[in-house]
Amino acid sequence: MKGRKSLRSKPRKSVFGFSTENKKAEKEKFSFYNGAFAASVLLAVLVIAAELAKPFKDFLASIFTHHWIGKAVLTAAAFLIVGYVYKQDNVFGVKSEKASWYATLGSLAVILLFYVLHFFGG
Amino acid sequence: MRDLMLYLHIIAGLSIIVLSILILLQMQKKSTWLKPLSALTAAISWLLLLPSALLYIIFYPATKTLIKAGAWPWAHSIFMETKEHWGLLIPIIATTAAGLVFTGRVKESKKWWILLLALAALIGVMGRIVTLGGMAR
Repeated sequence: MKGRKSLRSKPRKSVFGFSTENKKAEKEKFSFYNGAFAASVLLAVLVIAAELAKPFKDFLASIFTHHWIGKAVLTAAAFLIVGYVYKQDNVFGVKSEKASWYATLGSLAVILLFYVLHFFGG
Repeated sequence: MRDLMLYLHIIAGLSIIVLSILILLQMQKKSTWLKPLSALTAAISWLLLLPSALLYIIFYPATKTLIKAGAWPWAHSIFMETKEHWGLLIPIIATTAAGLVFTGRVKESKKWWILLLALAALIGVMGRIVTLGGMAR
C-alpha cells in the first residue's frame, strides 16, 4: 500500500490528454469550452430541426433573411452568451474540456451523418 | 464580384490551414509569435463568414440547380449541405483554440488547432467535390 502511494507522489496533470488542472479556468471571464459546447450542440439541433421541419426553416429565414444566417447568428450567440454566463468547469457533470471536445466532434459527425441519411432516405 | 468573393473565400480558408500548421510548429519552440498568430487565425475565421455568406446566398443557388439536375445530385445534398454547416464551427473552434493560447493553456489548445486544420482541409476537399458536381453530366 505504501509503495503504491509513492508511485503517484504528484497529482496527474492530464488523463488521456484531458487536463485535470482547472485553476486558470476558474479565474477566467469567459469559458471557451462551455461556449464551444453550447454552440456545437445548438448547431447540430438547428440543422436537424430546420431540415425536418420546413416551418422552422422558414421561420429562421423570415427573421434572419436566410436560414443559414439564422444558424450562424444563433450559433455565435450561443458561444458568446454561454461562454460569458456559464463559467463552471463542468457541463452536466462532465469536465468542460472533455464535454466541449466531444460535443464539437459529435456535432460534426451528426451533421455529416444526417445529410447522408437524409439523401439516401429520401 | 463573384470571383472576388470566391478568391477571398479560398485565400481565407488556405490561410487558416497554413496558420494552424505554423501555430503547431511554433508551439514546439514556445515562440513569442504564438499569441499574434492565434489572434490572426481567429480573426480570419470570423471574417471568412462574409465571403462564405455572399457566395452561398447570392451566387450558389444557380450552381445548386445545375448540380441537382446533373449526375451528382449528392454533391449538393451531402457535401455542400455538410460543408456549409461545418463552416459555421470554424470560428468557434479557432476562437476556442486562440482563447486557450491567450489563457496560458497552450498544450490544451493543440488538439483544437489540429481539429481546425483538419476541418478546414476537409471543407476545401468538399468544395472541390461540389465544383466537380456542377460539371458532372
